[in-house]
Amino acid sequence: MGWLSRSLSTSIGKKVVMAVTGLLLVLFLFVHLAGNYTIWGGESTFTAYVHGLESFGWFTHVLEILLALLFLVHIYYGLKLAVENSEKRPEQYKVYKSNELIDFSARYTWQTGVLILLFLVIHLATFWYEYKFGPQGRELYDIVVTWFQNPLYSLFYILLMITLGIHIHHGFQSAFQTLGWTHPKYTPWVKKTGTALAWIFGLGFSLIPIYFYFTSMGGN
Amino acid sequence: MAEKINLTLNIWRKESPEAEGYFEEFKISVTPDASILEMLDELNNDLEAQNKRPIAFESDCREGICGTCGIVVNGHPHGPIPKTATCQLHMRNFKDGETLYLEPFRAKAYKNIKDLVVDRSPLDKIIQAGGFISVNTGNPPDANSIPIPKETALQALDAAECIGCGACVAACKNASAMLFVGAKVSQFALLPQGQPERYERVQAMVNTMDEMGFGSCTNTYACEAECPKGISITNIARMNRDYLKAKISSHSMQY
Repeated sequence: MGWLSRSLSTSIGKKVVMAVTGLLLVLFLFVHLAGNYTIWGGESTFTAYVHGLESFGWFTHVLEILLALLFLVHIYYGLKLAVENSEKRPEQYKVYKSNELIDFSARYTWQTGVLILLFLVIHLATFWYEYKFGPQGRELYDIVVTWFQNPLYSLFYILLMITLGIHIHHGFQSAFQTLGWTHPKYTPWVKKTGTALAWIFGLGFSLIPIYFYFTSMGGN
Repeated sequence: MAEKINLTLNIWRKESPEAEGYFEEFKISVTPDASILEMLDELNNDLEAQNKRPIAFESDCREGICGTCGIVVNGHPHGPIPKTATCQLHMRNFKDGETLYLEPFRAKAYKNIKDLVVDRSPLDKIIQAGGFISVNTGNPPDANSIPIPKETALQALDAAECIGCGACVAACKNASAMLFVGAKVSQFALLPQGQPERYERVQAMVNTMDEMGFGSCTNTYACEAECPKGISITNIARMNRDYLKAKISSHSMQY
């Protein structure tokens, strides 16, 4: 093994991979949320945005592949770490309370991650796959609105966005700690930013299904 | 003397490293002035008087500075009172009629040898890999001949407060030794005397930590909450920072 692969397979190396990919995924979520919010402009604005993305041609595909790689690396390393760490205490405690001293979001990082992975698969299958490979000529706006009128789907979507918020609440400040970017002046800001991001994404993504669910019930 | 309290103890017993462990129940009456180790001493006196096998546990200084003792009491390494080593944990912190579970530090890297005794030599192996500074022998240098800012000296002393008891590993859900290694890396990284070996040291110690079978850090900070000396997780961040710097800029291909 070369020095780089050797370094990335140490305990800190793997965490660095998680931190860097995690922070990049947070950036992606900003772009995603901003894109989603074109839906407030109505069907034509949203559709124009979707077509606008596609108009980049091959460049869009390169971005899609990079994004997929980002997700896959974060998922692969996350699962790998979860499995490896689960083997580090073969004989469990009869009473274990150290976990009760820590933040809720920190206790279940890989578990929330697995839930988000489940969401990702369903999310891609219901929106992306249906748009790209479903019946020709159906606009994404139509697919999205139809799904969000389903209360079970909307509830699932909202619960998973809350899960995403919990994941980011721990993950954001954790990434800074792993990269060694801590400082008595800035670390409190980093933690507050993480909490803010958790609310922005948790609530921000949820607003769309909430809106479409209620408008489908006869409001506007 | 305060009135005695009655407790039910569930103590982890294990006859040999290979034997299966189990919990044994004891009903005892103890003075609230006793530490948990003194309570075990009393219990052992009774057991020996009855020709039964006494409970094996480790202790040395019994004043909270050597890092030898370490029992998980009711799910907390060194017990439920913050910044207190097992030997300094007094029975007045428990109520009459309470049930206590006494378990050894559990981790893949710590072999449970007997009852509450575990082999923590993997921590020593990490120190041997780089937890030292090399100095030329000769006359002792003048005190204070190397200027060190007060703030830096305090941070180094805070890191050096680590007694190496290994409770961080016992507390961590991943049985990670990052707080211990972070403290041991930091106490040298902060001071001029630690600079020549600074970046070799952090890589060697982290590699050995991984080889010894400790988990990786998930930044839950349970270690900091349970540490009897209150070692800060900023030491882990400093180690991560030094490790990354070493990886990126070191010319050596060794690690």
